[in-house]
Amino acid sequence: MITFENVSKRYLTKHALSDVNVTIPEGKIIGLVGSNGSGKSTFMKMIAGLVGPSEGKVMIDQEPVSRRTANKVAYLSELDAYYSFFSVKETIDFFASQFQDFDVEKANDIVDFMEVDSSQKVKHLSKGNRGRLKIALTLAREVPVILMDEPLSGLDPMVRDSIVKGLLSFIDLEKQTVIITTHEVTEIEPLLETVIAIRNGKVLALEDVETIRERDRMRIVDWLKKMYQEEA
Amino acid sequence: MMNWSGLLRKEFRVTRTLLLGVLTFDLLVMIGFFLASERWEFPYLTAIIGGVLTAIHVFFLPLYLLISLNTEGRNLHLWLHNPQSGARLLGAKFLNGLLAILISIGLVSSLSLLAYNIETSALELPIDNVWLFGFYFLAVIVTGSIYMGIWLIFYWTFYQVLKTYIGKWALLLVLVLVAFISWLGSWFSGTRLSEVLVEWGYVQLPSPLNMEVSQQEFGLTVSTFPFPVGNVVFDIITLVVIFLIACWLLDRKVEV
Repeated sequence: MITFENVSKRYLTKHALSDVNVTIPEGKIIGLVGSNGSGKSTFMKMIAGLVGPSEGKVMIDQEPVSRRTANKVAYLSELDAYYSFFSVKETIDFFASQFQDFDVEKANDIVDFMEVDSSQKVKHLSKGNRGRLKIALTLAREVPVILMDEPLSGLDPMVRDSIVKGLLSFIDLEKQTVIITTHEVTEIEPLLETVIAIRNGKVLALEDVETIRERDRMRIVDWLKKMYQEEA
Repeated sequence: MMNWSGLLRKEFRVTRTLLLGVLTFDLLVMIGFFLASERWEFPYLTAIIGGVLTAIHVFFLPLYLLISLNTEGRNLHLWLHNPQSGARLLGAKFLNGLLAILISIGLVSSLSLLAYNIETSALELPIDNVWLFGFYFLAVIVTGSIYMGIWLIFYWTFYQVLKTYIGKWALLLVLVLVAFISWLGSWFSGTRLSEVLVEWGYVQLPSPLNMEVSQQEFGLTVSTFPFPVGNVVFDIITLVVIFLIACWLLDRKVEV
């Protein structure tokens, strides 16, 4: 279970997160939604241990998060970053050498499923295929927490569709919690079980998608707009 | 073990092109000067140029590490989202750089020695002295490069910590820190405490530069000179502490 206890993150003059208190349920696909600059990426990086809180504590299973929490968390960055000199196969082998929980067979299955050529150099892949490779590297890890920061960003509808299908096929919700940030909320809405609304570094709400649909009779985008209006 | 060898392989790939470029440069310079010395009958020219090229290697490790670290710095999360300790992440870079400097300096030294044996001169230097002098020279260059390389790792990591908070001003602050630490080191070396910490454990090491001059001849013989082991111990401890601070900063304070 992931918990944020009174977490704030300040840079010199900017507050990225302000007094966040939230407990994220296990074994669900959770959408982290909010406008640009709302603190989504900082929130994700904190769970990955790549950013530390200025105040408060971020914990996974009662243990404070640090950079080395990478052994419990698979993090997909929003950035198009990769070791360009590796081929797809070498990239998979490198990840397998670094993460004990990395399932090479599963990575190859995902790469095949997404029709990425394993022999190609990563620098020669199209942006869409690099996005697919990032997904494969993240989902091939048998970790309790999977973080995906804008996995659909900048990709065409065909690629986005294959990624959404891949998500469903390769996640084990008995053992894994997945947190996704995206601006393409409508496309991943059918996948989401829970949603967290965030604005100006503050978590506005954590709600089950089913409740939003039945109680509020809204889609997530409309619910988010309502949350923003109430906060304004 | 697998993660360490995986890291090393990756580090080698990060700087492989750079290493190949350096080795090609070494070869071209040495062959070029060997051909020039043959043409102009300039004895020991290649060995002298080899010596200069070897001396330049003192900057090899810090520059090599800077290039390697900056490659990671452009995509920090890719490097840091890894369960390995900071000591392993930085250690793999350091070891890769050390192997690279040894390969490059080994190539230049071998070619220098080869040229020294091929080129002839009226002045014949005793081979024992040449070997001993070469060994000391290489030891000074490699240890000097290691010393600067580890300080470079520390300053680079410190820069990454500051960059998150003050952006481009981080470089200025790091330069101020470099100046301050240099001043501090220079001041400390003149104190009584430094003498106590450094100047102990003298051993006699063979010196290759003992000259014997008489009316008949000028010659070099192997003599001895006093060398303080305490100095080496102090420098090793300083470098280990600096490296561990850099590892701690990388694990705890560097953010992406």
